[in-house]
Amino acid sequence: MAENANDHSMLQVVIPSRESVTIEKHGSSRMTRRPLFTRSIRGRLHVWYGAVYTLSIIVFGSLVYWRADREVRDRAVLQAEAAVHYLDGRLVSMRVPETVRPGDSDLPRADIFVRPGFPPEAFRPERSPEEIDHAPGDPNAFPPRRRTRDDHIPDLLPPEMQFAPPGRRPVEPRRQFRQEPPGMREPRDRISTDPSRGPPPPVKERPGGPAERFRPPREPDGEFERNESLEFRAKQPALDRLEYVVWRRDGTVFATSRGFTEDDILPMPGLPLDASVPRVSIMPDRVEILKRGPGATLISVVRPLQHDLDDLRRFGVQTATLATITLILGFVGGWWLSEKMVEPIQQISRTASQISASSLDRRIELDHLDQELVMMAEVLNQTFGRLQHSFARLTQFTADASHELRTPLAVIQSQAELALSQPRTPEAYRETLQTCLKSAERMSGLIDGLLLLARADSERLHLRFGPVDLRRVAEEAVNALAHKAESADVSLTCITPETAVYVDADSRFLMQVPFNLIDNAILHSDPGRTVSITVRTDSGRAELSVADTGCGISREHLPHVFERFYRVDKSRSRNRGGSGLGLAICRELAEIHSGTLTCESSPGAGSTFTLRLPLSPASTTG
Amino acid sequence: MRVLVVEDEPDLLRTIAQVLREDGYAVDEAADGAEGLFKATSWSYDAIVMDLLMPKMDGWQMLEQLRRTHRTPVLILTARDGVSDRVRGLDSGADDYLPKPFHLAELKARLRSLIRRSAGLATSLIQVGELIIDTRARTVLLDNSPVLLTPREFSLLELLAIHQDQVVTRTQIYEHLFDESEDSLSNLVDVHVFNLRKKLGRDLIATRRGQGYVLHG
Repeated sequence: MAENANDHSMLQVVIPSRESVTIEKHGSSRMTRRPLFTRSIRGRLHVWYGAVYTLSIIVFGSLVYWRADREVRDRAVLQAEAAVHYLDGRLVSMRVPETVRPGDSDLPRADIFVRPGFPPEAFRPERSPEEIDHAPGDPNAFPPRRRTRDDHIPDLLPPEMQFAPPGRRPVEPRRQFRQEPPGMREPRDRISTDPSRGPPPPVKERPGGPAERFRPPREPDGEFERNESLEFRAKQPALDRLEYVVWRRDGTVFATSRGFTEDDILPMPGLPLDASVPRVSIMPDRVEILKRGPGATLISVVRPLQHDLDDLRRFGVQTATLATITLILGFVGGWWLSEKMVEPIQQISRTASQISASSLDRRIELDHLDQELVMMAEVLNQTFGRLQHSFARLTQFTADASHELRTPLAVIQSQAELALSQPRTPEAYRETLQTCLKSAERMSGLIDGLLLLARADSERLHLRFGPVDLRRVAEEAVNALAHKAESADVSLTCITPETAVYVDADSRFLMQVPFNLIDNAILHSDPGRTVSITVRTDSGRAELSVADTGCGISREHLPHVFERFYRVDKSRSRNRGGSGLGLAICRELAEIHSGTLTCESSPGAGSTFTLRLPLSPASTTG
Repeated sequence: MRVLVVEDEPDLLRTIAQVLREDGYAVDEAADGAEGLFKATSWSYDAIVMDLLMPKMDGWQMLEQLRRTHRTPVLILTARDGVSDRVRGLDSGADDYLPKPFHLAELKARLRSLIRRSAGLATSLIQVGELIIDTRARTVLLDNSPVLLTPREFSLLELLAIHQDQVVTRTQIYEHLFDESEDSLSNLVDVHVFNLRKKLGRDLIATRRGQGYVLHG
């Protein structure tokens, strides 16, 4: 009885209501807890594109900056070279003496500080070089002049070649002369008191004093000493425009640009006399070019880069700031844009959930969708179509099932009522009871069939598989129906092979297949005909076929014969107690055993139903 | 009254036909929609009781085709439980719907109601002068005293009473009194008329020569 109770609950499972089929919502709450960017298409997209953009900005920015830096230096070199060449040309016309004239250094100048070896001519550029030849001692020759701010002291270099940074005023002429600096008297005194001496001896170095920076003339021949050039560099003041120094052969300074004062006068760096090409030194903050000029002079041009580099740095900062702003704007804009793009997906989700909740007739509209979403929407629509079809089939099935069950019930009820409405003859009662019984049996068979299908559908058939000889199955079915066949005057023939044909099956269930098939065949055979049952193996599979010579099944019905409740000739089969489930059950059982059930039929000639099952390995040993 | 029962379940068909015959109806049977349509359009029935799921032609198709030409009242019997089926059946032209399984009493009552409505009667009682005909109980009262009539006689009286003051032809009487399985002899009608006159009064039913009979109130 307990099993019966279970059966009833099973029957309820057969007919799920639409409300009970809910669309499971996957834990959306779980999703939001995960990091936004790793789980979101938009997030990943943004991270990716942001990284690409940033990387490309960095790469290209660095490239541009590096190129600009090189350009700056190259240009500085060109400008310095131009200045060098220009100076070279001018010096040719100036006939620079190779050395200081012997008497120059003896001239006491109280108001004009002249350093040993530092000819005053170079500081009188307002006078043409031709005017410089004055007799020593001529006070008119060198009138002391106090430089004022308004003086415009022309350079050897014209202004356009000074390459001053743009926007700056021309450098004010610095005071290039000063009164009696302390500490320099000594050498002067020494020099003046001893006219018989030759070239002035080297001055002792003094910390802080300008003499410190003066070095004795040195042999221009010889190798360039590295140490000296380092000191040269270290002691140069910070410059903001192109500056030059021209030394005579003996190491004394012939001319400098306006940016240098006597305080800045520098020792001559070394460059071989016979150096024909200028030596270009590119340093982090300046470009220096040394060249041997006419008359073994040494020209040094220094083009500072500080300003340009500052400009470049400013440019770099500006670009970086702009790039960052663009990146942020791009990110924000992109986020908004991607939200707009994702909106259709969410709309589709909403529409889809509406469709599945209410009715399955509606479909997602494809007109306004982007290309990539069209495919997804189409797939969804197809799925809805299949769902709708499945639901329709399910509804159809339950309607058919209820009809098939209610009809015999109606028979029983009306027969009973009719019999009871008036006094009847015993014969009439007997007939009524028999009709009721027949209907009850029909219902019972139907319920069994429905339960079987329901269990198969929900995979709750507890099959016990084992090796089963298909021959035995066929023979059992034949034996069970022998009596029925005899009463219908239909003969059954059974052909089986000599060896066993083993399949993996549950014999209780499998037997229903040939039983149903043979039963059907008997039903559809005219008296005197034969139904033949054959068991054989074919290409690795076991086959059981039931052939009859009945009326056959037309082509239009053939695809549907295995459908539940499908009946080709409804009245006839119902007369004989068919319910329309037999073939459906057979096919279900065949598929549960990993096999197939097919039908071939020619109208008027008969039908053959074939059950094919995979051979069990035990067959080979059989 | 003549009724057509269309049902593909043979036991049920048999049962319904028997029930209705015992109730005094002339009953024709059809086992599928095609046969049902053929009979329904060949003879005029007072009502049709039919199933929806039938071979060859289902109930809706039969109804649709029938309604092009006939206004016969139709009662649908079916075991399909969908509301949409009932709605579709009623909208296709059926007059009433009875789900299976049903009680015989309800079937009979609904059938009577259908026939009464199509005859334009409000209740199951028809009054003709001193005559009170109870179509439900199938009894006749003349001056408040019951008169015993055979089922055939009652049916004939009922038919004439429904078409009160109208001529009812002999053909019509045949069609509504006998079912297809009966061999009707023309003078059977005369016999029934004669018996009715004898039991209820000579003046009740008038003969129109060459046309038929008329019941006057």
